[in-house]
Amino acid sequence: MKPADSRRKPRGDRLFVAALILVLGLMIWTVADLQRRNATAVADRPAMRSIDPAVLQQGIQSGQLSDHPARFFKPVEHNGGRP
Amino acid sequence: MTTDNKHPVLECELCPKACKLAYLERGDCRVRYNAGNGKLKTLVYGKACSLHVDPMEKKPMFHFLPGSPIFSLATAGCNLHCLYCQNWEISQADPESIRSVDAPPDKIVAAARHNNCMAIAYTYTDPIIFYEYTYDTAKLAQQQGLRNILVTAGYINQKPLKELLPFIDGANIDLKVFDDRLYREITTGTLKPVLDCIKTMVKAGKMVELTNLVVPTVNDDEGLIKNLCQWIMDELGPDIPLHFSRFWPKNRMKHLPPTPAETLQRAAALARDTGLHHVYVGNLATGQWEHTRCPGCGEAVIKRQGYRILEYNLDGDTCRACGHRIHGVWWPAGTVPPPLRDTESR
Repeated sequence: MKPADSRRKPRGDRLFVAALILVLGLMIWTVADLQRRNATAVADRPAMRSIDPAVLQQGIQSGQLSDHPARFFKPVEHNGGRP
Repeated sequence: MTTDNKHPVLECELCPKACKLAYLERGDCRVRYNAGNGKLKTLVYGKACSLHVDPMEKKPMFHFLPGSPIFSLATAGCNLHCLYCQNWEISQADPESIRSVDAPPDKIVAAARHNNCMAIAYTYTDPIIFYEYTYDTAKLAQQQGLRNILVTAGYINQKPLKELLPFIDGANIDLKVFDDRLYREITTGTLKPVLDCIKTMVKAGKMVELTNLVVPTVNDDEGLIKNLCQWIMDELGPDIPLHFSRFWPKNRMKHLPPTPAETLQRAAALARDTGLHHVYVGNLATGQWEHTRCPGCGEAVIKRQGYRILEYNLDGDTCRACGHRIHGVWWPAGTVPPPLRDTESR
């Protein structure tokens, strides 16, 4: 029994070390990936922003902005899953 | 989000972002907004923030009437938000925050003719977001014998694109990276609609040239470049001109260095090895990658230095040396580009 145990133990150690390296590697990769994503983070979904009616009115009157009809749109009943 | 009978929520169907806009909300492009009463409006129709006469080569369009001046216009806004945008001062600005001039379509066409331009470029930001302005100007320009060139990221839905195409002669389309995940991260767009736009324009017989801005550590991986070139070969054929353009640190990527010359030359060599006939390097004087070469005999049919044309060895659309047909929109047989005409007449 004893010699068999001593043969098995080093293999178990090697497996443990390999698993540890894998876990550490995954953690390092995850952290690096998160850092990269944060560094280049942009809004994934379109950011709808309201326009101040006073700014709009003033812009149109001064000729800085147009009031021209746009094409290609449809009315929707829901918010399309927008957060 | 406000939704009522008088001011319903509107979904913009111009580009794949499909912005859903409540009353007095504007889309991701900053220029299209819900004006109420079920109407979508544009803030930039006829309001140009940039007007210039550029050389055609600056677009870059190397296979479209080389050496001709092109009247170029832009409005504020863009439907993409590229981290390295080279024109971010106007593309990422609200239209009310930058100075624009009143330039309706008839004024643009008149100005183009006055400046001896044979074509108008819708450029600098992205003509997709000033669609109605582009459409009306291009239609009027065509009626008066001018050509129309889009310089675009190609992030547009198929229906509006197909309606615009009858008035468009050519386009330089940015193919930013051949990877959807990176497309989302770098540009906030997606890859497939851009590829669809390119295919639709080529299929419609328009003169399409592609540009890939090579950014160090972002999209300069050889595998990405190889995939991009292979897609062009497989889907469009070897004659589509491809420009690898040099990145200059701007916008939110000021921390990166300019693209090294070797990176651009390696990308160009890779494209040539893939089988593409017309590969160029832009924003960098290379000599080797500025000329248009005949795929038949290898001779330089157009020699360039920057935006200048030094030699023009085409007769109509064929190589003077071997008679091979070169893909493009060229000057009629027996004529040379305007800059060379001036030189000859001196």
